[in-house]
Amino acid sequence: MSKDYIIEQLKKQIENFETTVESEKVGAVIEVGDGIAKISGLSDVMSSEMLEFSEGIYGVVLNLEEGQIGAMILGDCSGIKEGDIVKSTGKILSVPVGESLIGRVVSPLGEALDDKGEIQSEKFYPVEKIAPGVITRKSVSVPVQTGIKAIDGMIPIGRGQRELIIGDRQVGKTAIAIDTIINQKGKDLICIYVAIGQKESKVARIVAELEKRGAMDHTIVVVAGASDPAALSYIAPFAGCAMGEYFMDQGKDVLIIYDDLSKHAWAYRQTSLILKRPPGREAYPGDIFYLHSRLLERSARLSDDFGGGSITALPIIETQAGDVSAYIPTNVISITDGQIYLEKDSFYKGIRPAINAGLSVSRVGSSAQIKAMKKVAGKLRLDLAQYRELEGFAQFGSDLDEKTRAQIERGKRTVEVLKQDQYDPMSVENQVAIVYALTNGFLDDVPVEKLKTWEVDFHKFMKSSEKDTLDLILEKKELTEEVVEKLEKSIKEFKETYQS
Amino acid sequence: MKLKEAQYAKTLYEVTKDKDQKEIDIVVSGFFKLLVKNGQFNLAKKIIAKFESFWNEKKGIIEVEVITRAEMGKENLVRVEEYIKGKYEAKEVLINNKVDEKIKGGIIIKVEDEILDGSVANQLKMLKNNLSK
Repeated sequence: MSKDYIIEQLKKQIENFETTVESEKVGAVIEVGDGIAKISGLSDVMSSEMLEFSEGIYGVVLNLEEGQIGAMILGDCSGIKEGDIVKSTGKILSVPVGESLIGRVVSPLGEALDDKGEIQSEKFYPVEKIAPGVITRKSVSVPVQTGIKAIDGMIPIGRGQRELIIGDRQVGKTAIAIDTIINQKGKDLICIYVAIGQKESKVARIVAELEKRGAMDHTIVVVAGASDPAALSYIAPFAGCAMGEYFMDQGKDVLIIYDDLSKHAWAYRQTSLILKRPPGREAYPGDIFYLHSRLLERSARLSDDFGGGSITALPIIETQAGDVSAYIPTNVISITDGQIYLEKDSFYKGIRPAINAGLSVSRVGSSAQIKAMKKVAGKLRLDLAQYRELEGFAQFGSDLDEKTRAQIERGKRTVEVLKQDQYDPMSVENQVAIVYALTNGFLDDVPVEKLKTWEVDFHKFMKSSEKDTLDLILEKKELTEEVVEKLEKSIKEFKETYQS
Repeated sequence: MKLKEAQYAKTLYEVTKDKDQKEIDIVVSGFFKLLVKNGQFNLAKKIIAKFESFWNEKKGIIEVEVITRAEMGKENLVRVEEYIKGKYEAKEVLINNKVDEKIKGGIIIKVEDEILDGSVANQLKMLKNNLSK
């Protein structure tokens, strides 16, 4: 590129440039600190309006008081001085939305954080929006396939549902969410992963993993890192939700993961305390419940008259030492339509995903499960519950009667089958086949320690030589006599030929 | 109950309007005695400021801060005055001309919290933003 060419280009650009002078409302910074600015003036400013500080830094109005306003600064506040001029923009805080965001890593303001260039989008959605009303909704009926046997079997999630993932740190909460995203590859669900106050290294690892498995093609990652101001963490889930709402309005299905809402609550607590709003229980402000309820209420399944789109939310909450009765966990449990409870003990015992089947529930998801799965998985929960009860007796070994021993053996196999490696989602027809084999006693004569290799080979066998059985399950979605007959035949055939 | 400065200013306006100088002197000295009695003399500065803006509002007077690179000539001052009178429907305009070399040229007009930035510096900034896009 020659020098003349550059100069020519610049000239052309400057030629077309026109300035306009308009009168603007301005205020002056009285006080600034900890990401919050107190501003005087700005007489006609609205609540949650965007403000422009010097150097292109934006802020959002939170408090309107007599004689001054309180605003949070979205970005680096170190360059803002007392007396600086603040301009109002007349716009409510909004983020760019649209197809161009898919496959990108963005900040909560919709700015690109990856190296794929600026985000081109003409449409903007407000960050705060009232959730869809009663008339526009319908109940869930289509499943979200997570690809995890334990979840799809026992705690099914429907499109438009809000299912909480709760557990201590390092028990695989994020792993479940990421597996679910990976399992949507090539399907019709758009995924949005919102990282709130997460370590940048963790986010980088997740993005790399998603890219490696080709899951970024249907995913948007919204990141408010641990070193970003609390204000960004506060708006991140709302921004992610706004991006999802665009697709929902187009009649598409969206899955949003909020990872995690405990850190979101901390960020909001910080902002509120600095704004001198009165603290309540655990020093959280009075509207902390409303903060999460208005966010999660925006997940919905719209009725066909309104396009039939949906937003499914998987909020994540991190508990401290398994305490689910703390303030934020109880709040979010009561808002959501069920929870997946992950346990530290099971995790260290090697039962991964470490789902506690007794405490995990899905209040609405069962109506979205395919009938075949519903039928085979009904027994699953029962088997596990009975095993848990009898687990203590297992040590007595030979002193047990026949029936109890059989139940314990079945339980051991159930636990073994429900174990699943990370990044290894399973399609629903394979899930039905293996769970059918388990609950109908076909695995009772396979040694527990060999079950894992047995299962792997079984799925391989089904995929290669019994493909029509799997297709039939997927097509009928029900355990008709025809399906059962074919399935049992396939299982028996495999058992006959199999030598470990 | 302690009164706020806005309430004081409004009261002061009410009791002094349509009175001659002599009466006003008596009322004002009485007003400050009351302030001292109420222990709110420290509000005096704020009350005066409030009273001024209240007075201006009632009488249709507008205070304008005009920033230019060099002192404005008479002709330009009249033009700015006419412009403001037209825009804000004011009866009287008080112009406070400030000189700031940093704006490089043009004019900035400030009325309360509204600003009309027609400076060269601002237009250069806009050009910079446009080019860096």
